[in-house]
Amino acid sequence: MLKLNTLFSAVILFTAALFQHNADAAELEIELTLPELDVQPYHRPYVAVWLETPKRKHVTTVALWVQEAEWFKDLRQWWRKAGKSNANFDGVTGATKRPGNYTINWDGKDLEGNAVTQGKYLLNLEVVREEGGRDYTRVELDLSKDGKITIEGTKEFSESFVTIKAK
Amino acid sequence: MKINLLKSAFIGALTFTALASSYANAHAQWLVPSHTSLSGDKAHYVMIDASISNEIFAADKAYRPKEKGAEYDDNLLIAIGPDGKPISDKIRAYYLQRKNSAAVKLADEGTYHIAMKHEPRIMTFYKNAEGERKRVFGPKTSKDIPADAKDVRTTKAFSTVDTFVSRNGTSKPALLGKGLEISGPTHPNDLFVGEEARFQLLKDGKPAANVELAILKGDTRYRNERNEVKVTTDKQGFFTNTWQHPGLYLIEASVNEDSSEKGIDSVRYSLFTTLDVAPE
Repeated sequence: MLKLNTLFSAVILFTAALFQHNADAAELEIELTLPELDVQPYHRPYVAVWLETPKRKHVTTVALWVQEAEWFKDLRQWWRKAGKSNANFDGVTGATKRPGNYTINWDGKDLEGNAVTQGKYLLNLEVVREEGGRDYTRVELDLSKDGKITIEGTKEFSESFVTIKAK
Repeated sequence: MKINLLKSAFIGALTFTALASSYANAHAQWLVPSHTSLSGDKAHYVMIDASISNEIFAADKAYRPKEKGAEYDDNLLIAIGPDGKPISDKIRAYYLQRKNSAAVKLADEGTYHIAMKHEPRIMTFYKNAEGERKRVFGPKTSKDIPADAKDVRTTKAFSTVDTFVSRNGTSKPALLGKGLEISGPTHPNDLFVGEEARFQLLKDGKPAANVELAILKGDTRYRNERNEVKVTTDKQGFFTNTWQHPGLYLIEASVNEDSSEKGIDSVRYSLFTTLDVAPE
């Protein structure tokens, strides 16, 4: 059921990407760096990137890199906002990643394919590693203005960047 | 004198299932859940430890099973599921000298309200012919109370010892409906450092106004001051707290009331709620 949902959502997203230009939605390019950590054992971290309203209501999950649902709860902030329903993350779930630089592109739409309205939001980033640490940060951004925001590095993620391309 | 009486009642009320010989040392009681938030597709078990101990949350004395000499008690704990009904599975709480331990199966998704299954306890306090203060469990008609007893006073004690656990997201927790308990708007499994929580204190399901609560962080063994935060409920029973540190907390309160019930002079309600606060 979970897999079918994922596939279904993936098809929808793919179709949406083919036929729609983002005439009415801002886009985000998130450059996220997971650092090399000299620790043994090293488990790849679980990562969640999501948008909230300024009042901290979940808008859409942008990326979720995970393995087993059993440990989703350890992404504590993401779990409390988006964990209740698979529909909040099925379309954006991927496998955990090894250390490196990653670019996450967001098309300005929520997981139902609706353009997220212009305005101010909170971009949340949470990284948690088994037998390791957990880091969480959130930054304000305005989807109606072009801009680039630097997310200060922590232990579990290095300095990262968010580029906003307003419509 | 009045203070002494109150103090006796307090200690008595909180330790009625403890060994009679050791009640002087013990007053707080609490539950410790192994988890308060769970995710994943399979049904989960959560371990609940229960103990009577002033050292929060280090076990000191277990609740004795009702059946003498029994190794476990199937009637110590109750878990009310997201559907508002007590779970049908037996909750077997083992008697382990310093604590009781039970595994509770969470088959459904949402919030479980887990509590000690306490019945109100009747206690009678009096002074004997020598002027010594005494207490017996039972009403004024108890045969242990001498005919020449003075200052005879009977108290009904009702304590709530509870906590909350959520599986695959939260749902509105069921109310116990009896005694003291906390209710929303803040969900008891959605507590984070730096955020303000707002709760309503209820007594028998109705708002309990102007009651002082103590909010006490666990691990009291590892610090010299208890550093409890005192808050008082407003007219509608609401109180707020902003969590300063992550960890397990014990919320304590008590309410004494005169009673109009035949043979009962006063009622004492106590609250011991365990809450889990996450780091930001």
